[in-house]
Amino acid sequence: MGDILQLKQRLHNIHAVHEITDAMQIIATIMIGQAQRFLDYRKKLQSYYDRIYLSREIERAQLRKDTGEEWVIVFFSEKGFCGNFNPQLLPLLNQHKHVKNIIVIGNRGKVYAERLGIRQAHFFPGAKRNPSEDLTEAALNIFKENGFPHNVKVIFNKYNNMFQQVPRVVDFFPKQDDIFSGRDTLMDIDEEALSETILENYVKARIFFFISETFTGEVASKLLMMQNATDSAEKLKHEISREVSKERQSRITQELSEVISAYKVLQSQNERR
Amino acid sequence: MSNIGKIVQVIGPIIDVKFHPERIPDIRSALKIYFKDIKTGENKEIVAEIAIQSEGGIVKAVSLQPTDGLARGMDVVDTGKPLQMPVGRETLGRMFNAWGELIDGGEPLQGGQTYDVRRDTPKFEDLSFREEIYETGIKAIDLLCPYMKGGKTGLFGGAGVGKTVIIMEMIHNMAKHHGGISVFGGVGERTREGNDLWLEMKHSGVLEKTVLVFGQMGDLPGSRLIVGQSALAQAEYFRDEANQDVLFFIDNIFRFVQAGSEISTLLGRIPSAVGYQPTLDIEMGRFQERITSTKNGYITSIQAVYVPADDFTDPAAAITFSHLDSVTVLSRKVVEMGIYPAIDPLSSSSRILAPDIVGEEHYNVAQSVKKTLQRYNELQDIIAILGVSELPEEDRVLVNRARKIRNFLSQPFHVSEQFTGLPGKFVTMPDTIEGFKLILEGKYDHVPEQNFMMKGSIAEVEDK
Repeated sequence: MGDILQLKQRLHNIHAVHEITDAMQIIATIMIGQAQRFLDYRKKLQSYYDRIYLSREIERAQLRKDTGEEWVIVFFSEKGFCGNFNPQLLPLLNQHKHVKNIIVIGNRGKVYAERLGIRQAHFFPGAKRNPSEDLTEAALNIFKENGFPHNVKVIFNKYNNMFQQVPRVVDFFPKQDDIFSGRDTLMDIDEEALSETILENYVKARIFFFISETFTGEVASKLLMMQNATDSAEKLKHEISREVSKERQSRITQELSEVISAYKVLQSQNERR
Repeated sequence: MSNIGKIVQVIGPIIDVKFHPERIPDIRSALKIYFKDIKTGENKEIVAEIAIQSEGGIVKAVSLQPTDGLARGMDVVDTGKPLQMPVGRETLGRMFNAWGELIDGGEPLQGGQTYDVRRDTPKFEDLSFREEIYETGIKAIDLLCPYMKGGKTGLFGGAGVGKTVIIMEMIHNMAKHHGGISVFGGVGERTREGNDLWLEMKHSGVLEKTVLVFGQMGDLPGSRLIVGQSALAQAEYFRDEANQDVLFFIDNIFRFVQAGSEISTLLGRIPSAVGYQPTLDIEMGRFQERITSTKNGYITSIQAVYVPADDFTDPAAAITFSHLDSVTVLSRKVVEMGIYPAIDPLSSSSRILAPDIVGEEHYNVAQSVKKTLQRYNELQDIIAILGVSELPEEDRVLVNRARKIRNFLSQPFHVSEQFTGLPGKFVTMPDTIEGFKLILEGKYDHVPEQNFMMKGSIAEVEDK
């Protein structure tokens, strides 16, 4: 009987986990639509920011990129239970762990940075429940304190669609060709007119864009992860339920055969008498 | 004048014989039937043992050999004594059947000394105990369920999980590292395995210090029931008269119970739980109580125990548990992972795994290994649902170490070199403890878990 009790206990535990993963899946399903709409909006907005930034900053930016100290910003998820979303960034982070200045955004990143032995990183929380522009302030301050470094790389998961987030390394400040390719644009370069306001706002907008993209990816990964977890829990429940039934049936059969065989022996003894 | 009876009934291996009411032989007396086979014309001899005395001078005897060719009215000779087993130094290197006949085709024995197959247990005041480890050279056993010199050990497992292979490996290691006399009782297993064992012993040079007694699968239940006791009589001789320590192997003690069950049914007894004989406890008890160490010498016994349908609550397995000092459980789940020997580290145990016997370090390492594997076991369902990556950092480290420990419990055997293609390894106790200690301390966290499979000492993991 010990085995059946143990199996039932396991079944109970799995059922509890199943309920949690089910609830998390429902929440992620609701959040993903909202996050995708928000990201689409930010993507459209970002292209305008890029053009404004490059029209004012192009030569100085190129100069700073070539000579300035290297920086890396890594965007991890804020919470766990999102499958391979964070681990897939690790090989890229590992390639850049020699960089002196690393900014890690997203709570989960702290653990990974520690695991890789990255000690000089600046840690900031990520998106919480919804991405908020307030979060960009802390990162902006670091930019300000260090005279707006331009040789900055970003490691993040590019959100392609709900099923695919691809780890990428991109320049924080985009290249001219990326933004103006195929466009017949008149460049208005005026170093004197460079406004710090434009740069500040651009940095904030750019960081917020990556936070939004990471948040959407995190929600999508969580949704998939919870779908898989719910499926696995159901499968496990099914398997254990079958084991319980099998064990129970075997005990019933055993008891019946014992009763019948004992009855047969007694009957044959009586017949002999 | 010999006491002669007449066969009145033959049902399978049960022979009813009528004797003169005033000369009824004792229970457990051996009977002999000499007859000419009507088909082949050969002279035959059948040995039987009395199990029941009935009314009217009729006794029910259990035949040890096939009863083909017997007929009602044939003469049956009462030998006047129980079944006998030849004993002595001249039995070393020889192979016998359950009733003491040589089956290796060699020269007949010169000495005439015999022992009763069924003997009493030693007196309480003659018993002796010592708590010393018997080093097997198998990491999983030496660490988690160490065997005791002069103790009783059971190797539990379902069909095909590797009980016989472990016994053969231990015989191999014993030859190289321990020396001494050993007695092997082949009870109801495959004849092929007996043949393999004989060849292995001959090859490794231990045959000269070994006595083999076989009553295998094809034999009648009477033979399979008695063969363990016949082998034990040999071991008792070396312990009591030669004052030597003996290693006593039985493969497989479950077949002894099974044979008892078959005979019980044939004799018309009411079956007990799961269809076993009502006398299961006493039969096993009498047998196991004889396997003991006295002031004259020690019998260290290693018994394979088949577990029907992998059900450890089966009465045959459960009753054997209670007699043992050390239990090694072989698990099908471990076999499915491709880990050999397939020892279940959490179900295996030993009475001597205590700090005052094995030492603080061994005890602490063994307990930590068990604790780590236990926690890993608890996390299995969560890992199956959410994956390892979602575990907290502490548990993730533990899971990685547990997997390395699980793999490091595997070991290449000398007797299976031809199957694995890897040379067999004997790992000393200090090496075993050191290896697991280093894994637990995290010294091998950087090494992939596959590197720990089928390795001897921890130094080999580094070599790769």
